[in-house]
Amino acid sequence: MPSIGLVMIVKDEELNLAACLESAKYYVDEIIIVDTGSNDATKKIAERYTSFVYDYKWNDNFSAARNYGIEKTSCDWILSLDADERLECNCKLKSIIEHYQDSDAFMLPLYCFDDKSCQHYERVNVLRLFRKDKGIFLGSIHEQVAIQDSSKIQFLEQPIIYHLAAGKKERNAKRHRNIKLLKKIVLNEPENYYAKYYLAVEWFAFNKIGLAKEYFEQVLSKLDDNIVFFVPALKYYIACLSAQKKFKEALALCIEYTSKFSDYSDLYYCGGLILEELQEFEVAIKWFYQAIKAGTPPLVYAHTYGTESFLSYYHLGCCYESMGNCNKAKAYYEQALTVNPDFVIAIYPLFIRLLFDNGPETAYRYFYKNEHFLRQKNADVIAELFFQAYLTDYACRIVGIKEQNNLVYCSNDLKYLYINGHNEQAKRILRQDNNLSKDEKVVYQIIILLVQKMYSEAHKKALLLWQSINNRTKALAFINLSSFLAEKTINVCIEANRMDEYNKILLSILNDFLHGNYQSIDIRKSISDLIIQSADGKRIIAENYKIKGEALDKVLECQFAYARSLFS
Amino acid sequence: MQTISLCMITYNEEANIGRCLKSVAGVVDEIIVVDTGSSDCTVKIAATFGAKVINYVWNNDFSAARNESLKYATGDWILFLDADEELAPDSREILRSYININNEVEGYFIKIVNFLGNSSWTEPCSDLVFRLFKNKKEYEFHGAIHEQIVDVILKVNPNAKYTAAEDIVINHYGYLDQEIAAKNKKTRNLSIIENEILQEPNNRMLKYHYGVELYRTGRYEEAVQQFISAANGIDAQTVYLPKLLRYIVMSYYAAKDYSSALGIIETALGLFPNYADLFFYAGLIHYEQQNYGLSYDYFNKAITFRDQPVYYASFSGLNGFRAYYYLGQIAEKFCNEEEAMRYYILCIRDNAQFLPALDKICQLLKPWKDIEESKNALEKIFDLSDSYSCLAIAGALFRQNAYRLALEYLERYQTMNLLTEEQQIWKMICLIQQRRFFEALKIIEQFDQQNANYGLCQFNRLICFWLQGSLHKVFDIAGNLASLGLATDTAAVIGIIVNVLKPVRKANKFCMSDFTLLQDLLVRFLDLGEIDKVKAMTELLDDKTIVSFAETLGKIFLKYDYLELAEYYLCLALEREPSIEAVLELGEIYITKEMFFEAEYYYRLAIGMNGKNPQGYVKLLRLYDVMRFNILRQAVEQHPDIETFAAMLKEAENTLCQV
Repeated sequence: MPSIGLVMIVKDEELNLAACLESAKYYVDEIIIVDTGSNDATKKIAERYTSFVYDYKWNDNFSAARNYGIEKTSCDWILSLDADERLECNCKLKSIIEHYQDSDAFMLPLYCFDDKSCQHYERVNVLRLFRKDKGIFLGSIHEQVAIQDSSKIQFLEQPIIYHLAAGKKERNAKRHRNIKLLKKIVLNEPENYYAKYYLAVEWFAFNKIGLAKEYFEQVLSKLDDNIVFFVPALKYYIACLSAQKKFKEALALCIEYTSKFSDYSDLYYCGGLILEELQEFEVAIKWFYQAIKAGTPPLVYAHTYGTESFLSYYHLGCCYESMGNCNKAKAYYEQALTVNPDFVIAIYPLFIRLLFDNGPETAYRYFYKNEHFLRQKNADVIAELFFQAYLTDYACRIVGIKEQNNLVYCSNDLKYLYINGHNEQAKRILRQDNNLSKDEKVVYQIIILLVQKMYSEAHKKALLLWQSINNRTKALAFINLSSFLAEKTINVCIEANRMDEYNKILLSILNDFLHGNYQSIDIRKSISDLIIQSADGKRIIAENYKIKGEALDKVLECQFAYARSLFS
Repeated sequence: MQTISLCMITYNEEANIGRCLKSVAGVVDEIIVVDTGSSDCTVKIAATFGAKVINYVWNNDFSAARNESLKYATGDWILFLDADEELAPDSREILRSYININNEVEGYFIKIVNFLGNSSWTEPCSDLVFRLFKNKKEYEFHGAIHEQIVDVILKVNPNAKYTAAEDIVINHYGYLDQEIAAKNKKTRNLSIIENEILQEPNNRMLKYHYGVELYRTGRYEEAVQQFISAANGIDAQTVYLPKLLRYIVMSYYAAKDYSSALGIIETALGLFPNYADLFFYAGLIHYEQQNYGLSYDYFNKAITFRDQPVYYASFSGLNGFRAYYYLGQIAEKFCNEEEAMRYYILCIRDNAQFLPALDKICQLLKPWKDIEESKNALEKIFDLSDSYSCLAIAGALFRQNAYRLALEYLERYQTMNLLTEEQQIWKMICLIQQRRFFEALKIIEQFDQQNANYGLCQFNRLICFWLQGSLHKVFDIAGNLASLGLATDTAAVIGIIVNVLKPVRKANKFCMSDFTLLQDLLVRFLDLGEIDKVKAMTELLDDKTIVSFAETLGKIFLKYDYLELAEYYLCLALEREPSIEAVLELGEIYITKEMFFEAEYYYRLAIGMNGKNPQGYVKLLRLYDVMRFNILRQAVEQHPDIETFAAMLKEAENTLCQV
C-alpha cells in the first residue's frame, strides 16, 4: 500500500489554506506545511490539520523550499498543492497509484479559472504527484519536478486541481514578483526555456506582446518534443500574432498545426476567431464547426473550456448574425447558453435578437423558461438589458422572481422598482438588503418618498443625510428637489464649488426616470426645471440632450447602417 | 420566298380566337386549327379567317393534339400560337424577314409577353418560348403539358442551330386572373402533370412545371420540393434556371420560410449577379421581417439593374416602380418624407397606372389641409393635360378626403369625358362637401330606385338636408331608407342621426361592428367643420364600440387637428391594446402642444414596443434637437453675458436646420 504525503509551502494564506486542506486531507496520509514567514494566522490554521508545520527562511527559491518539505515526509509518494488550489477526485488516490504500478509520476489536470464565477477556465497539465525517490523540484520559480525517466510519467483525467482566480490586485502583485524572479533566471540560464515560457506568459498578461512573442517562438523551436509546454506556447504564439494583427501568419499556423493535432478543438477555434476578425464569416463558420466536431481534446493538450462547445456556438451565432442570418444566429446563441447557462456573454446578442425579432414578451418568456432568472448574474444582466431598452416593467418582473427565489439584490433592482412606482416592494427590499451602506439606504429612501409625493418626509431624510460629510452635496440636491417638487421653491443656494457635483446628481436621477412609467414624467419635469434654474444647469441640460441625441444617432447607425442616407 | 403555317389547337376559345387569327392575317400563308371538341363558335370564327379546321378527339395529351396540327401544315416554317395569344402588330414584318434569312437556323426562341393580373391592374412579364421552327416531319411535340419541341429537334438533329429572335413578340393573355378562373386552368394542369410525372419521375422539366402549378394553387411547401429536386445537379447553362431559382425563392417566401429564401437568393446571385428580381425578393423578405436597413439596401440594388436578359423573365417593375414603392415606404419609416416623395414620384413615373403610389403622394401632400400647396405640387409632378391623369388624381384626392381639389380635377376630366356612375357619386359627395347642395341633389336624382347605388345616394340626400337644417326631410328619408331593409351597421348610423336630431332623455346607445360608413361620415363632417355634429354622434356610441374604434377616432380627429379629442381617443385606444402607431401619434400631439416630456415618454415607449421600427428613434432624436434648442434659446435670453451659450445655440440651430 503506497503512502502519500501532501507537501505545501505557504505564506499569508489564512483565507485559503483551510479550504485547500479540507479538499485534500482524505486522500493523504501525512500533511507537511512549510511556512516561509507568514504574518497572519496561517500557521495556526495549519496546526489544526497537522503537527508537521515547519518554518523556513525564504530565499527566493521555491524549489529549495519544496524540497525541504519533501525531506520531512516519511511517505513514498508526494502530492504538491498550493493554498489557492483545491483537489477533487471521485476515487481514492491510492487506487490510481496502484493501478499504474509502473509509473513514477502523474500529470494532473489543473483548471485555472479566470474569474470568480468559476465557469470559464483553461485546462493545463501539471506534475504534482510523484514518487519521493524519483523526483526532485528544480528551478527557483515555476519549479519543475524532474523525473529521471520521462516514459514513466502518466497523464490522468483525475484528480482535478482547481486553481481559484485571485483578485486583480493580488494577481498583479504576484505577477510582478514572478517577473522579477524569472528575469533573473533567464539572465543566468539563457537555455532555460521553461523559465522563458513562464516569463512570456506573464508578459502576455501585461500585454507586452512583442516580448512575449519572442520567447514563445523560442519555446516552440526548443521544446517541440515537450507537448505539455509546446501546445500552450503555440496557442499563446498565435494569440500574439493576432494581437499584432498578423492574421495571415496566425492563420497559417492554425492550418499547419490542425493537420498535426487534428483532434484539438482549441486550434480550430483560434482559426475561426482570426477569420471572424477578418470578416471572412463563411470560412470562419467552417472552422467553428470543426472545433465542435473535434470534441474535448485529449488530456495532454492544454485546453480552453468551451472551444469544443459553447464558445464555438457563440461565435457561430456572431458570424451568422454578421451575414444577416438572424434566425441561425439566434439558434446558436441559444445553444451556447443551453450548453453553459453561465456563459453570460451570449445573453447580450441573444437578448437583442429576441427583443427585436420577437418582441419583449417572447424574450422574457425565453429567459424565464430556461431558468436564467434563477441565476444571479444572468438575472441581473437581463434585468439591466430590459431597463436599457426602456422596458422597465420587465426588469421589475425579474426582480420579483429574484425575490421569490431568495437571490441577492443589487442596487439596480431598487432603481427599477422605484422608477416604475413599485414602492412597497422597493421598501421591502431596502429593509432586507445588507449590501448597501447606511447612507446609500437613506438615498434610496428619499427617492422613494419623492416618488410617493411625501415631500416633507423626504426633506427630513435629506437633512439626515447632511450629517454624513461625504454626502453633503447629495443631501443638498435632495433638499432642493423635495422643496421644489412640493412648492416650486428652492431652499438652499448652491455654492459654486459644489455646483458641478450637484447638477450631476440631479441629472443622473433625471436620466434614470427616463426609463420610468407615465408617472415619472412629472418628476422629470420638476428635476429638469430645478436644474435649469442656474446657467450651469442649462448648459448641462443642453449637453445632456446633445449626448442623448448622439446616442440615438449611434443606435440608428448601428441598427440601420444600410439605410444611413435616410436619416443622416 | 419561304412560307409559314400557323398551327394551333383550340377548345371553346370563341372569346379569344378572333384576336389571335386577326393578328396573323396576311402574315402566315395558311392556318391549321385542331379543335378538341369546342361547343361554342370557335370553329365558325376560325373558318371566317380561312382556317383549315380539323376535329380531334381530346385524349389528355397536348402534344398529340399539337402534332396532329403539324401533320396538315404545308409551309416551310411552323408558327405555333395558342388562341389566347396574339402576334404583336410590330412583329408582323419582322417575322417574315426572319424566315427569309438563309442562315441554317432550325428554329427561333421568340419573346412572349405574359399579361398577369386582373381587370383593373395588369402587368406584363416577358419570357422566351420556342414557337417558330422549320417544318420537318421529324420535329414533333413531346410531353403531355407544357409541351416541348426544342429538345426533340436537338435529338433528331444534334447540329441544329436555333437562336433567339427577341424582336418577334407574342402577347399572351391566358394568365390574366379572369382567364385562369374561366378555364380552371390550375386544376386542369395539375391533374395532367401528376399523371405524367408518374411516368417520368426523373424529368427535370416536368418537376419544374409541376412546381409552378403547385405554386399557383398555393401549395408552396410542395412546390419547393419539386423546384429543388428540379434544380439539384442542373447544368448552370439551362435556360430556365434563373426562373427556377426565382420560383424557389418565391415559394419559400410565400411559405414564410424567410431564411431558406434568403439562402437561395445568396446562391442564385452567385450565378446571376445582375438578376434584379432576386434583389427585390431579398428586399421584400427583409421588409416583412422589419429589417428596414437591409431591405433598403436590396431594393436599391434592384433598381440599379435596369436591363435584364430576356431569359430571366423578369417580372415587371421589380427593378422599377415596385421597388421604388417599397423604398418610399421605408423612407417614411425613417420619417424622411422628402425622400419618400421622391421615390413615389419615381414610382409613378415608371408606371403611371400604379395607383398606390399616387395615393401615397396625395397622402404626403395633406391636400385636405394644404390645398393650394398640394395643387401646385401636383401640377409640377404630373402632366395634367392628359385627362386620365386628372381622373386618377381626382380619385386619389377623393380617397384622401381632399374634396375640393378632387372636385376640381374631376370637373377638368369631365370637360373631355363622360363620368361613370361611380365618378358621379364622387362628384356628388365632393359637391356636398362644398355645400353645393343643389348640384349634388341634381346628381342624386339620376339614381332611381332600381339603381344599386340608390341607398347610398339617398343617404347623401339625407346629409344634404341635415346640413341645410331641413329636419323633417331628414326624417322622411331616414324612414324611407329604413323601409329598404338596411344592414345593421347602416341602420345604426341612421339611428344615430335620428337620435341626434330628436334627443331623447334616456337615449339608447348604439353599437356597431363595421365602422366604415360612420367613419366616412365623421370625416366628412370634420372636413365641413361640423364638430358639434361629430361630437353628438360619437356620444351615442356605446362604450364597447368606442373602445374598439378609439384608435380610428383618434386618427381622424388628429387629421383635422382636434388635438384634445385625438389625445383622448388615442389614450383610450392604448389602454385596450398597445399600438405603435397610436403611440407615435400621441408623441406628435404632445410636440404640437409643446409638452415635450410627454412626447419623449411616448417616443421611447414606441422604441420599447418595437426596436426594429426606426420611427421612434428618429422622432426622439429630432425632439432632443428641439429641446436642446429651446433650452439654449432661453439660456441666451437670460444670460446674455455668457458667450458660450450663443455658440451652443448656433450649433443647435444648425442641427435643427439639417432636418
